[in-house]
Amino acid sequence: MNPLRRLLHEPLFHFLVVGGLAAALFGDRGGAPRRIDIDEGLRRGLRQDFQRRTGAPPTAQEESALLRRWVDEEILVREAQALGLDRGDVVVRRRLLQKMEFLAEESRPLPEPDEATLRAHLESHPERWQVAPGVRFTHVFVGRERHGDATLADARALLARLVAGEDPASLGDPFLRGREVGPSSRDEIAAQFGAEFASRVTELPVGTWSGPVGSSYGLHLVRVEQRRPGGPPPLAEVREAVRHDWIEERRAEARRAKLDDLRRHYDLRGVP
Amino acid sequence: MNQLRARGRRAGLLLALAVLAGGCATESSPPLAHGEDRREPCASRDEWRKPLFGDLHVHTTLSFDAHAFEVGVTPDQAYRFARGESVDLPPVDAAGRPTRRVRIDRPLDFVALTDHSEFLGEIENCTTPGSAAWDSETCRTYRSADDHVATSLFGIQLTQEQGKRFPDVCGADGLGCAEAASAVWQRVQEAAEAAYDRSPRCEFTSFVAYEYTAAKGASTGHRNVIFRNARVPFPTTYFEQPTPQGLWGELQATCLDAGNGCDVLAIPHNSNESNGTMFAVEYPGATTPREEREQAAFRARMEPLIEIFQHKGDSECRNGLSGIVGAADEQCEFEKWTRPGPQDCGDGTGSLGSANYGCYSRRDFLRGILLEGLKEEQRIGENPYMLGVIASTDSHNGTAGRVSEEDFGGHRGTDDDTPEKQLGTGALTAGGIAYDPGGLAGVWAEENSRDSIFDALRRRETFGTSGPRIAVRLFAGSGLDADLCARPDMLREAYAKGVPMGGRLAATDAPLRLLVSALRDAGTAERPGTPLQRIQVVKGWIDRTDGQAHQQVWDVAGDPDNGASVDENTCETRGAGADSLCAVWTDPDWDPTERAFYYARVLENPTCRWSTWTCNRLAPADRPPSCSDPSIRRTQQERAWTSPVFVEARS
Repeated sequence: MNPLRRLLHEPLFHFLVVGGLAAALFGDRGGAPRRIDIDEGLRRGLRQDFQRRTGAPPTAQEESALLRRWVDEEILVREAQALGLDRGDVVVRRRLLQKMEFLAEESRPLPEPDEATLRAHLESHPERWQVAPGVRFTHVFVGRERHGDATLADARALLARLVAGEDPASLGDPFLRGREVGPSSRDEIAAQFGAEFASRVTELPVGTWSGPVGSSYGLHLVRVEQRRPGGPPPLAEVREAVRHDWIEERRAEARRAKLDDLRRHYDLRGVP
Repeated sequence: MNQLRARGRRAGLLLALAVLAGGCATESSPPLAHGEDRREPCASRDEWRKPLFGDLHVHTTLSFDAHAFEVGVTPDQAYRFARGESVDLPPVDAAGRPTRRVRIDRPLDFVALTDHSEFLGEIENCTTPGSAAWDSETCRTYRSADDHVATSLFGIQLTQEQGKRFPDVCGADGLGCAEAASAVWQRVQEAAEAAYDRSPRCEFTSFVAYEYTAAKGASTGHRNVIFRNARVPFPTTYFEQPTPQGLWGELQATCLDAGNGCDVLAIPHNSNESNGTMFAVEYPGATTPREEREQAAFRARMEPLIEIFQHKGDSECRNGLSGIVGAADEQCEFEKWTRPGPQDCGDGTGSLGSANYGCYSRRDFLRGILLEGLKEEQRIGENPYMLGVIASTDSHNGTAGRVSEEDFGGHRGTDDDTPEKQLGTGALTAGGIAYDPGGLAGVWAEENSRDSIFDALRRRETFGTSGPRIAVRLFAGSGLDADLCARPDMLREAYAKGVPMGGRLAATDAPLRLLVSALRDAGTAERPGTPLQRIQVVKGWIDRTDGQAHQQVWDVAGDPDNGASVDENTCETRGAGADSLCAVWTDPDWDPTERAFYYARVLENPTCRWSTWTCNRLAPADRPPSCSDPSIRRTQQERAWTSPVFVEARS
């Protein structure tokens, strides 16, 4: 698209034209010139923004165009504020709030939380990452469809062979959902095998073959491999979630602190 | 500019300031905490893959129609619902508060929230007091009109040849809505991020997604766009991309080719409302077979799946349409939306399907679409319709996976929020009694993570169910052993000697074998699942000599005459069925020179349709006419469908 046509599509262009109209209308208001400073932080921000949009950093020419445009915007925004156009408009109000909240969050730059910080955060809010107790188990399936009246007898015979040390992978019927399950909570096991199976399996001893245990599909010989205690998991398992939560909490604190600070400058009446 | 000036200078400046302020706000929005897609590895990973159940088609209050029908469920709430928490639905009380509290009977494994991308910004503007558009004619109508009128107000634009945004809502250049939509889109991504379980527990997966809602001529051309990753491009809409080719091109340009790891696919749905348009064989702009081939391959890449079952009925098959040779399939008579006057589009197309009018095409249903794909492969050497299968709900209540027949809560807010409306004839579209509680998407995945599930969707190792959590697997290969159903190493063997559902294989002289196996839904303690009745294999092929499309269905496991039944007055089931079924089946009519597909259909024992449950709960005097209408089925057989396997003919 050529630059002129692009300009015609720019909301800023529309804004400038409208703004120009308003400026012409309201005229010069006199007084000492107000100051606008361009610092390196601003330049850097404009460059990053440009790169994010276009994929490449601005050339020197593009950068000065960006700066000229920013100055134009800044002047118009100040004029609009001076005219009070930002008051009484909910959208503008919401945007300003959003912006101020972000500034408040940014006023205290957040360091990347270290191990000890994350551990402390996990330990002070264990309920947020609580897991239900669960088990991981291996099972050998004896299906009612294939074994009919002999299902129970066949299952007991298989149990004897498993106890004697035969390889579970070579015994029993195939099972679509797999032979190794978990670690899963009782509810998760119930959703796959039925509630009764889930209550029994979560009570079985670890490391030995037990059963037969009935499920929605038939009988199973089960060896619980591992029992997962309930409660908060080790940090290694939930690091990303804890980090996310910690950052959100710090941001909320920063917003609160900033507001408390600002409140001191206001005379609040009839406010709780 | 003229428009702005006409509104008065002060208003114009205000608007400009709002636009400008909006621009600032977008740039200063806090970044997501997870810039890149990091996650902990899952504690439980199964190399033979496990079945995961989800819903890849769910609307929340962000959709223009859901919002019009007074659904207030947010994306955060919808995700929490899918994990077991309750949400509140209309009818609303005098203060506008929803009065029905619903929850799912058991959590889902994964969910994609697919709000209509069209009008995300319009709804935000029209429902935010004080927004620049708040007092516009269109917004006032949207807020105050009857819910159906409000829905049509926007919806009608999606059926126009050149759909338009409303200048009084969006500004003359549409930027007011684009700006608002980008803030909404940010929240959509954040909600998905918050819901995704990145811990090793891997309990729940969310997908960032949206629905592209083209319906030119009121024939449904809808697609759900599902992303693999967390940071995704801004959604496109019917307004910018009025054709599916445009949608795929946009997804390629902004995601697949973006070089940042973005991955995406599209899933068409409600072909049953498309009057032959969704899968019409066409290659716009192609002038050579080679260009047609390229378009076909691109389509197959962008759309590896089809959603064949949801609230608005079944899209598997329909008897009595021209162009397919073979005996009628009685199991096609399942949750069909019927229209006045049976009309067959033949090889052409029609219109008005989304209002439940117009003709049906064989290409509106999976079976005919797959056959058309085989024909195209024969003609140009590339199959544009290599489609795997899923089902979902299309809930506009934000209630992902709430598929229970016992207490169907309706499709969308106030449109059907009472038993009377649910059992009525519906409005706008057929609706009412024709709705179904919808189905679920099943995938065979190593673990419950975005990557694992997305990979399963890509390779089509997927299945759909009409609601129950039936698990079903299909493998194909001439080298599969006949005794696999009794072999403890069945899955290892099946993967080694065959291809899983969704795959393709080359024909050999030895007849093709299928291993097909299913487990019933275990249900819950309160509501045990229903036993299985049988497994069927469906084959479609193109006759080598006359080029005709054929279909045939075989019962391969279980017993269609097992004597099980259901009492229509109490919905109690009687008689036994199977807890699991398994068969190795050899095609008795094998011809390696014919192109073919095979998929499996698993049927449960009969149960009550949702409407029977609802009618039975009403006092006899309060029951509407539909409760005794002989054309409304009282009972049904719930089911699961596998993705097909595709056989390449030997030349």
